[in-house]
Amino acid sequence: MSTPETASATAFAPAPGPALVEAAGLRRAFRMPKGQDPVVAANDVSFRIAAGEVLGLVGESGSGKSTIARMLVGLERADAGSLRIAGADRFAPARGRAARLARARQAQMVFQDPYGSLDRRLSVQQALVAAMRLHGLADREGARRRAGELLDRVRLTVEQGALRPHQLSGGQRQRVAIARALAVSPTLLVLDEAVSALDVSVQAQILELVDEIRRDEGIAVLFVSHDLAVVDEIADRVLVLYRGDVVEEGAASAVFRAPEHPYTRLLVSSVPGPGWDPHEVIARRREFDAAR
Amino acid sequence: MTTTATGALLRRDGLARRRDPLYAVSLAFLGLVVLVAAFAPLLAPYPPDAIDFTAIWGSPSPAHLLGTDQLGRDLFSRLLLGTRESLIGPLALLAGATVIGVAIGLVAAWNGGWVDVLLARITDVMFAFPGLLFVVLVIAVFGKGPWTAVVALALAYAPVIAKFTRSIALSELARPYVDAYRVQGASAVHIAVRRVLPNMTPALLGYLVVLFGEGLMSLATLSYLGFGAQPPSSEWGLMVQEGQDGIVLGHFAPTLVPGLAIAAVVVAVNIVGVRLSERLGARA
Ligand SMILES: Nc1ncnc2c1ncn2[C@@H]1O[C@H](COP(=O)(O)OP(=O)(O)OP(=O)(O)O)[C@@H](O)[C@H]1O
Ligand SMILES: [Mg+2]
Repeated sequence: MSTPETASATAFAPAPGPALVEAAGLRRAFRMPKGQDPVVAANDVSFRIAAGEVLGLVGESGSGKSTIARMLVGLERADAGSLRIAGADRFAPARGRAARLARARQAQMVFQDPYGSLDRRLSVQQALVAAMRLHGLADREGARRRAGELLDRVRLTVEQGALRPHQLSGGQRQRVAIARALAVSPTLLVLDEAVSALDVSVQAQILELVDEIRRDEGIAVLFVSHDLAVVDEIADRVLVLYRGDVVEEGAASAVFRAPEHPYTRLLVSSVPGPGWDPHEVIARRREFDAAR
Repeated sequence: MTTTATGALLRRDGLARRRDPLYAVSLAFLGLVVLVAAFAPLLAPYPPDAIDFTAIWGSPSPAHLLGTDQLGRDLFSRLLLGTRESLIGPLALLAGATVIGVAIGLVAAWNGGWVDVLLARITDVMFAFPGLLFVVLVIAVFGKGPWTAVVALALAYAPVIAKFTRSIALSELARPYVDAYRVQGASAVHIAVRRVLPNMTPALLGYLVVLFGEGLMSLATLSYLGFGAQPPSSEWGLMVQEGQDGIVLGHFAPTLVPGLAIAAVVVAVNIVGVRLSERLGARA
């Protein structure tokens, strides 16, 4: 399950001290068409992420993972709760360009879809330069130089920097998306199913890259995935989400090897492996839902 | 085996791309028309409004290549100079309608809300209401003339363009790269105008080219009806109307020549527009 390159992930101990990200009591309900009850995507979600720490967020489809992820980067509002990144209140009204850009530098995101999340009109280099220019981080020349460094950081060549998204593979595109996120030097990096569309060997490369970045850059990472094996590899701590509620939280090794909550146990035992029986998984799931 | 098969396929695809004679001919023809419009005063042998009562309804001759009209004016010169007004009118109408329509369509797609509702109502009314009637109403209020016709048609086309823009903007805005720009901290205006709009232009362009042809037809029709260009202009629609008196006398050229010019340009524009949509759409 774990490879030698990422063995350091579980050995890495987050720096003690104040958390970079502090979320408390996050709640979000989506109104449904008339007559139906609202869907509670996040009920009462609290967590902290330290500098250089990777927090994994797992749960089945529809458990509210993306809602939480999008809240952290300001794409989704919260009905209740508080969110602080590097001490700044994310939910306080922010008017004006400077405030908006400052917020963007607090949290960046890598999306699931490597094909749709890049602007198809811009080359890799242009996309990176545009991000830095938007934030006034460098003049044109400086931005170009730093784009070269970023390409190097995510292991893309200068030649690949001249290409447009349709000329790149899925894995290469996710590297571009990571470089674009890093271009504004964020405090927090949110990855929502960022490796789910990639094949296993490419997944491993991207995971290694994320591990390296959090270590070198000391940024906080929220890693969202429904793939427990992947989260086990990359995350220090894990949050298990079930229908908008955190049902278990702890060190990744503990949660996956000795799950305490029945739902976590169900999740862990449902992972396909030798002797895996889909009927049994479905039956157990039904039993679990009935008991709730 | 597989490589040669693929090679043949690629080659055939390449050939198909290059061999599109209809598109090439249409494009070349339109290029020629634009050149004629640019250099018309140099190319025309006579001033377009030079009346010669000794040469009324003249047949084609070395002195008058296409003959003369009811006032003895040289048809060939009038045709060449008419290119200008016949092209600039639809161009201006399209430019105006595009600026208004694209802006409204983008705002409607981005914001939804009252702009979206208002646009839906306006387009509903426009589609239910005969376009020509609307234009005639505007002209009745503001007086007839070439620019009133252009403005009236621009107002009629703007909601149509807005509706089309809205539909492609909606699918474009659903793409995750738009969220990525939001997360990056870009303003709504920056994302819509600088990022999303350029990605929409391939889809918009072919549509606008076809609309240009439609606009040319509509303006010529208005001039023919007496609501657009006014004498002594040699706008093609007006030329058709003025030449009509010759038909009963057996002089067909004064009507036929500008009529064919309108038809040829509209057909060429349509071919180019449709092909552009196909090509750019396939690439996007
Ligand atoms: N914009 C929305 N409008 C209405 N309902 C929504 C919206 N976004 C999410 N939901 C609902 O909220 C719940 C949680 O969705 P969310 O996308 O956060 O789940 P997820 O854990 O990311 O699932 P997946 O693993 O499939 O990505 C789902 O029931 C979903 O239908
Ligand atoms: Mg999701």
